[in-house]
Amino acid sequence: MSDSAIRVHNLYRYFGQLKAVNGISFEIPHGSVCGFVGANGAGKTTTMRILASLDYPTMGLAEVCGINVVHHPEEVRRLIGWMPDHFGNYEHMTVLEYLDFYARAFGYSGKERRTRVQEVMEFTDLIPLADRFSNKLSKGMTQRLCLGRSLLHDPQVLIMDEPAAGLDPKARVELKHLIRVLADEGKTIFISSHILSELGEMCDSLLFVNEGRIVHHGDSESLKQGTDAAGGMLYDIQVCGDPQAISDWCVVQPHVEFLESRKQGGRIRIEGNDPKRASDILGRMIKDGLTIHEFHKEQRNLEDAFIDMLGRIDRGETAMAETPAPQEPSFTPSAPTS
Amino acid sequence: MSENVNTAEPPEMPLVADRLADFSDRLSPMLVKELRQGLRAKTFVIVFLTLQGLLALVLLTSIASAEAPQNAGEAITSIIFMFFGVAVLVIQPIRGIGALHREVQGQTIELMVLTRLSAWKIVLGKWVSIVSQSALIFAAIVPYLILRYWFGDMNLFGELSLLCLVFLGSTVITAIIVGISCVPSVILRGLVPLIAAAFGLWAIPLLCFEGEFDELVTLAAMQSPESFWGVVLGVLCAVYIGWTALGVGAAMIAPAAENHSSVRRLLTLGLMLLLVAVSGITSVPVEGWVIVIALVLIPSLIIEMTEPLVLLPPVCRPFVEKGALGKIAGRFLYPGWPCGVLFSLVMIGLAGLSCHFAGISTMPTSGQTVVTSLLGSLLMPAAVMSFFDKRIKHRLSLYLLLLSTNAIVTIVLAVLVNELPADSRGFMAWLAWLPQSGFIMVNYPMKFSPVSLLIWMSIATAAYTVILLVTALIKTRCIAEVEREAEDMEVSS
Repeated sequence: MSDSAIRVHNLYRYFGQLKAVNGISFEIPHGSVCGFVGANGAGKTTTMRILASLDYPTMGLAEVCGINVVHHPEEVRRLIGWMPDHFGNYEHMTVLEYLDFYARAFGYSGKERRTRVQEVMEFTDLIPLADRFSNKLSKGMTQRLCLGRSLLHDPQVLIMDEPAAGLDPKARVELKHLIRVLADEGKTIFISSHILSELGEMCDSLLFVNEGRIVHHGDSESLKQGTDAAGGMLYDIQVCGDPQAISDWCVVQPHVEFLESRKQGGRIRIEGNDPKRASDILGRMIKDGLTIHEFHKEQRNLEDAFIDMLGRIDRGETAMAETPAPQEPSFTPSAPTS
Repeated sequence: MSENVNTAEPPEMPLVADRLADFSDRLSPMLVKELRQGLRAKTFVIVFLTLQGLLALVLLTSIASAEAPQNAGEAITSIIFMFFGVAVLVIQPIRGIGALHREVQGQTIELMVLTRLSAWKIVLGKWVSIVSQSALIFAAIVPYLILRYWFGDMNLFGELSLLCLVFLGSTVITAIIVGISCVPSVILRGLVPLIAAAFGLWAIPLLCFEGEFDELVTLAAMQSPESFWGVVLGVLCAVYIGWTALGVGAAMIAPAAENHSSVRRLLTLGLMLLLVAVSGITSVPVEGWVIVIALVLIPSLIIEMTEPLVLLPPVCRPFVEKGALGKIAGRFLYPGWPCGVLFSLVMIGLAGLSCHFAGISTMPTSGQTVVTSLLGSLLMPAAVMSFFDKRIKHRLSLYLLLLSTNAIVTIVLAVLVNELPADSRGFMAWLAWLPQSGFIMVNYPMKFSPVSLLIWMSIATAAYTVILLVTALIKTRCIAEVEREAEDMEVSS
């Protein structure tokens, strides 16, 4: 078995002139939960669809459990559970019939089929809804049904595109709980969401994508701790007296950058991720006569970190990795397939 | 309490209810789903009950007023066929209009593709579901036909055979509507079937109550060699058209890495070779033979010349594995219109050969001109489209739009020519580059001879063929690149 549950290398997907995915690379180890974060149109859904073998790359490699999604889509489909950001309703079909149909479609028959449907309904707490028509369910119930469908064939990897979108707080908590249980069972979960705080709680790692490129891949703690994409540390400083003194002091200091003024101080960035350097800088500040009464590493929420990161990219302060662009093959359609 | 209680577990016996429940495992999952949904739908229930009610009413009325049993019998036959025809040729197929489009739009097709259901099984399930409901209507009609037998003067075999042929027609029309139900163009997907349905509602009663109905029964009875071959070849063409239509639907919903084109083309090739082989031995007149060839060739040309060009290495792989011979075969069998054009030209050649064996040279020049014009009319829109390949999103829709425009231009020209005196029709010579102008010129006296007209139409058709061939060959040069990727795949795996 491959070391990574998901491996993407230099993946591109162009729709005519639109560069939906623009040379991204990442790996997700087995049994981990990875959040995929980005603005609308950043390339999340396209990447996930390629991994689910529903779309194909213009260039690059995408593997699930070591199997190439373009070369062996049938094998990949047996390994993944796909939960899209939409739910296809069927008229005249109950919850039980809906799951029963997909169980048949996944190749289950007889007692095995009935048992599998029962297990999934118990796991997703759908038994009380068995006879309800599937197109008459609330959003939360619908998502549970959708999750149940994607679990029917017991996949190793779950790819979930915006599963929490439009859910009320209770349904979100339920979904989060189900995802955590699945993660504890050893399933690899690749999940995209706009609700970053929830992703932070659920995920072992986060992938930030912007304009089709990865801008950050790491755990959520590194972002909360005020470590930026280039590996610098962010600190809040409060002083007694004139706060301008900090920015003046930073101008002449190596490895320190003044980012912005705040009420009684400012925000600085210290190069590298070495706490010893931060300690040295604090020492020098005091030695140079700055009256520091507060010096702490930033504890931001993920939303702030993400917005900061996008802001820095917009200002050109953080460069995204440049990779050679592929030529559009002449045998692929020039328009999006969906 | 007795001490002799047998505590051993009884052997596990499957319950009858369980065995009944498992019966559906023998059916396609798609069929089970569609039947569950379809039998709950109001349309089927209404059609089924209305048909039963109307037929019972008509039969009871006829029995009550049966002073002349023979006339009453004929009237009952016509009424049975009219109701049955409307139900299975119009109403039931119409239910397939949104069959695949609903799944595509609701994005449930992707969820199904990720299971073990192939695109073919999905399309087939949709089709079988509607056809099996039509079969229920068919089965419900039979008792009325048996009752009608007692009114006398009935061509039992002919009428039963015609009933079966109508049902076959229904399955083919359903296949066509299901097959095109995922075409993005709403005009093609919805409007065309609805217009056809309106025509059917007008034509079916007319056919059932006019004199032609008896001729149809006689034909269905297959008492002469001509009618036998007519029915056999008709059934063969109907099966082919239905299968092709379903294949087109499957190809449209299938992931790009699946190849549905090669099998379809091989089947067309097989059928055409069969027609070449039997062209000299049937007793079908050459005009009838040309119609049979056209029924096979026209759908094939339309589908192959308009297929979107998406070629991925996994599709090329089975061909590349077979070396140089496989690659040559791939030039004719790979998905996409350029290879489709090359394949179509082979089919045109075989069709020509078959018509030659059937004695097309004995056909009047005007007939040959019409055949040539028809071929040119089919090639022309594809030739025009080949210049704008990259800008075209939906090739099939655009092709049919151009074909319809050509048909309208032809009708306008025909009206104009009909109104003009003979010496003012000379301008038509300037329109000889339009193959469909041959349909008009062949019917009105012109300055040039029928042979000259045939030569002109042949030149126009040949010109469009050359344009298509050249543009297709230019496009197929890029195939080598995808084949190289497929070879790399082979090495890496």
